[in-house]
Amino acid sequence: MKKPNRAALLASLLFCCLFAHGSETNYQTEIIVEGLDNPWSVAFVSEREWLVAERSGSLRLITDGVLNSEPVAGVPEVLFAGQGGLAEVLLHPKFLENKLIYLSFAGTDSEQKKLNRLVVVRGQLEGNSLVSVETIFGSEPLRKTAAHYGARIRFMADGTLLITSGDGFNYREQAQTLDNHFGKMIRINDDGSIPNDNPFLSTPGALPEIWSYGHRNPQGLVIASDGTVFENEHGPMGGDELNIVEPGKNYGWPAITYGVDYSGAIISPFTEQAGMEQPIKYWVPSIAPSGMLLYRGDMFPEWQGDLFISALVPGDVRRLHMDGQSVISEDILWSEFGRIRHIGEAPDGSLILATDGSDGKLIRVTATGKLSEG
Amino acid sequence: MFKTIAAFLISVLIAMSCVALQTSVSNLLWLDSINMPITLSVIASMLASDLVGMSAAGAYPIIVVVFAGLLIAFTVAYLLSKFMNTGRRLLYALAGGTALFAIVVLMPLAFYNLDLIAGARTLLGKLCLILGGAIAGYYFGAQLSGGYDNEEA
Repeated sequence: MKKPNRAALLASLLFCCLFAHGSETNYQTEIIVEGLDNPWSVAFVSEREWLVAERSGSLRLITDGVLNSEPVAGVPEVLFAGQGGLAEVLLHPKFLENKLIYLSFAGTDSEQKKLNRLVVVRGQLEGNSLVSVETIFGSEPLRKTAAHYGARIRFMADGTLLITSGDGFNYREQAQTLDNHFGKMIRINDDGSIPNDNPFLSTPGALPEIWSYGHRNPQGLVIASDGTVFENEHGPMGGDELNIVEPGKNYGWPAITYGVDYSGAIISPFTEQAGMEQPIKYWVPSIAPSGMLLYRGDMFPEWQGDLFISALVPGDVRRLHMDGQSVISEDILWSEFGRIRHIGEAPDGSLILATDGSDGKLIRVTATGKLSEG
Repeated sequence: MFKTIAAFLISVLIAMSCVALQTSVSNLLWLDSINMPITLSVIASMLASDLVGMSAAGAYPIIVVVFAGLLIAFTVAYLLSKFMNTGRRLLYALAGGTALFAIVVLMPLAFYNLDLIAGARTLLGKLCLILGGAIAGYYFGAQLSGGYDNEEA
């Protein structure tokens, strides 16, 4: 059992960042868990119990702020290489009844060991073990690269599951064709079956689980209470995007893009094209957007309805003040922690940030009260 | 010495131009295949942008990689030429091709199989780039030979 370093907690509280932002709530930050190996996502089982997926392949249980030294047993073996590894941990909407959790990860193919794919499994959490694990999605075709998996998953209001599947880096052009999973958003039922209202069910040659296409490496996914699907994706060098995704639509990658290749080459000279959707916001230069949160909590009433995007470069959180489906303004927050891999909302409305890397931390942002105007 | 340095720098530019040209052409062909509006001005703009961008504006300097690759390969070729009776054009062409082979085939192995030069993602693309290295080497060998191979002099 790794106990929290109380001295570090006290020090971080003493030196916490205290900002005034107009009339908004003050906040403080504190490091609540250390010693995580590449944390990628956090799921809140309850106020007391959290699950953290470490990209290196372990699922960790945190109880009352204390990290269980023993990883959750029964998690499938993952390919921890490049950008690959264990990614998302997500609770079923009826978790309290069925104890189902969903994991996404990079997995080596059982027959062709040099190839891998994005995999989504589900299993039941019993204590510190995952049992009855079954694969409900595996991306096709297999890839040789260990990059651009996407791997974010979220449940829609109708109980279906959205999965972001990245373009695999080397396979970007395939994001424009519907016979594969590169650069797609996938929609399946919670058991892996195909919903009967997916947009390409009757399209010849199209995979029936595809929901939208033309994506690059989507790692942020939020579904608003009105059903709006917000998605953010890494661009190449420049051209990170925030999109509102609708079924059957083409988001353009790599035919249109606001970025250029890492080599300095033009990927496409076009930024717009008929039949291809525009982002509601894009970033040049890149911020490397990873996780995304639509804040709904009561702890920060002024932030309700705003999007928070954790960014890897240079390392901060972008708060996007939203007016419905439009971005009104952007604030940069918490740039003192380095690369932020994930942002989540705890049951009490506090924000939880996960820092990237082998010495990953969870940082809690809580309210300290109100400031008067001016 | 000055002539050798100038010939080397020009050979780097030849190889770099081949890399940029191959990247531009492969991207343009794909864009055209999905009916994007490719015009002559788009082609000209993309060719120029890629040559400049891949030489000076990338996140990683491909021209430095090409420079280093050719420098090593030509140095080895020079040493081999002391012991071999092979024509310089052929020897340096092989060296240039080998340098580009190392860049487009071996370099991805260090980056989880990512082809950082997009044009090198296909076998045909790799062959084109290796040919570009060979052309650069052939030019360098020809300059060292003063226009003639050893055995022709």
